[in-house]
Amino acid sequence: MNLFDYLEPTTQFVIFSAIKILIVFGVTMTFVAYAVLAERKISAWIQDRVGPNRTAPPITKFIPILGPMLVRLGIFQPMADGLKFLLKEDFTPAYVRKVYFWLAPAIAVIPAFLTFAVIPFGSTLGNPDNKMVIADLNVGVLYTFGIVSLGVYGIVLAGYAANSKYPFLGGIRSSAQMISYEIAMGMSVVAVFMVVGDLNLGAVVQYQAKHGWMVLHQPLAFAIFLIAAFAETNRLPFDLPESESELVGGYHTEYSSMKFALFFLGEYAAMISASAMMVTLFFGGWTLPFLSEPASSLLVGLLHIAIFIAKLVVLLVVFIWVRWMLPRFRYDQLMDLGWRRFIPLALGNILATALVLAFISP
Amino acid sequence: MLHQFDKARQDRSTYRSECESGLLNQPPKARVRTLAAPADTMSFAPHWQISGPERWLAIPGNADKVTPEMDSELIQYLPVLMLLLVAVGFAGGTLVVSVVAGKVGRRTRTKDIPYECGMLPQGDGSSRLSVKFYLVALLFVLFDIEVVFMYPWAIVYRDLLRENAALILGGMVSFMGTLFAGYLYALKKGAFDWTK
Repeated sequence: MNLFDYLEPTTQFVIFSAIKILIVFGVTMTFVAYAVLAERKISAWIQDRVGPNRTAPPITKFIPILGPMLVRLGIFQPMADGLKFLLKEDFTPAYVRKVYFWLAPAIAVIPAFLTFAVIPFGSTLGNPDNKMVIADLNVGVLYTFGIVSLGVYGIVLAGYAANSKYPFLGGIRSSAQMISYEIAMGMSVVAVFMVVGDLNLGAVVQYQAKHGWMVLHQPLAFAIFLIAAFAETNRLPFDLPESESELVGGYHTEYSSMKFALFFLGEYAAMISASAMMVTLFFGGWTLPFLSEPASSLLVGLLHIAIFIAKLVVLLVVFIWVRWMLPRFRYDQLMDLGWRRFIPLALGNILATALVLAFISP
Repeated sequence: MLHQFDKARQDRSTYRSECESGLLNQPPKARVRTLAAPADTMSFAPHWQISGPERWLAIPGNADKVTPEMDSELIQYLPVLMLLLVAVGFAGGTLVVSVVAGKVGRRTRTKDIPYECGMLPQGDGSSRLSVKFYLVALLFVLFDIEVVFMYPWAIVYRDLLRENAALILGGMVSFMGTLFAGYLYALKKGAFDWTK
C-alpha cells in the first residue's frame, strides 16, 4: 500500500492525469524536435547529401566510438537548433499589429498539442483503470475536429498581424485551404463511424481489434483523410501558405526567433497528431492482430505504447517522404481537388457504406 | 504482528489524547463520530468522506475496494483543461524566455520596413482579395454544418438499421440528396472555379 491509495479518487485522478499530460507533452516535444531532424536527414538522403552531421557538444569527445557516430547522425542538432531559436534576436517590426503579432504563434501551437488529449496511445498500465489516454471523452472525434479547426486562426492571425503583403496572401490562402479540406476530412470519417457506431476513439480501436484494421474496411476514407491531413497541416504538396518560391515565407515572413519557431513546432505537432489520428482510426491504434487484448502486465502495457509509437513513426516518415517526392500543387488545382473531387467522393463513400451496411453485411 | 486496522485504531487513540490535551487546536468532536464504527467489522465511512487528518488513519489500504463516483461527465474534461494550461504555459513561457534570453539588436529604419524582397514596399500591407475567398468561407459554413449533422446519424445507423431500416436510410439519403443538389448548384454557378 502506498501513499497514493490514501488520496481521494478525484485527487488520484488529477495527479494521474497530470503525470500522463507531462509525459505525453514531453514525448511529443521530443518527437517534434527529432521529426525536424528526420526531415533534414531524410531529405538529405533523398537528394544524395549528408545532412546535419557535425553538431557536437564537448562531451562527445570522451565517448570513444558511439560519440562520433551520434554526431554523424546529427542527434545533437535539435538541441542546438532549440538553443539558437531562444538566443536569436526577437524582433517585432514597427508596422505590425502588435497584440495579434504576439498572439498568433501561441494560437498556432496550442491547438496542435490539444488534439493529443483524446488519442489512446496505449491500453492500460499497471491496474486496468489506468487507461493510456489523457481524456477518455465520449465525443472523441468531435473534440478533435473542433480543436483542429482552431489551428487556422493562428495562421490567419499571423498573416493579418504582419501587415505586409506576403504574409497576408499566405494567411488568406491558408484559411481557404484548411477549411476546404476540413469538409472532406470530416466527411471521410463519417463512414468510419457508421461502421464502428461510437465516437470514442478507444471504441474505434476495440472495434479494429475484433474486425481488422479500418484501412481494409474503408480504403477510400483513408485515402481522403490522408490527403486532407497533408492539406490541413500545410505540408507539401499543399504548402501554398508558405510556398517559398512565390510568397518568400508566407505567413511567417516577418517573424523571427522563438515566434518563428513556434509556427514550426505547431506544424510538426499537427503532423504528429494527424499521424496519431490516422493510426487510431485506420491502423488499429495500439493493437496488433495477435496483441489486441488490454494489457495484463506492465510489460505488455509498455509494449502496446511501443506499437503505437512504431506505427506513428512509419506514418511520419511517409509525411516526410511525400514532401520530397512531389512538387507543389497550383492553387486552383488544390481547390479543385478539395471541392470538386474529394467532397463528391466522400459523399459517395458515405452512401456506399450505408448501402453495404443495410443490404449486404448488417 | 499488529493488524493494520489495530494499528490505525491505536494511532487514533493517541490522536484523540493529543486532541484532548490540546496539542491539536481543533475540537475532536466532529471527528469522533466517524470513528465510532465497531472495530471488528471494517464498515467505515469511505475515507474520502472523512475530513482532516483522520483520513490518513481511517482505513489503511482500503482505497481500491471502494468504487468512486468517477462517471460524471464533466470531470473527464478536467485533463483537457490541464493540457490546455500546459500548452498555454509552454507557448507563453517560450515567448517570454526568448525575449529575456534573446540577443538585443539595434533598431534601424531599414530593419523596420516590411519585407518585400529587398525593394521598398509598395502600397498597402493588406490589399483587397478575390471574392472567391469569401465564397469559399460561406460554402464552408454551409457544408461543415451538414457534416456535423451526419455524425449523430452515423453513430446510431447500425442500431437503427435493425429497428427501422427504411427510416434511417431514407432519411439520410434524402438529406444527402438535398445537400448534393445544393453542391451541384454551387458547382454549376462556378463557385469552385478558380481559373476564371
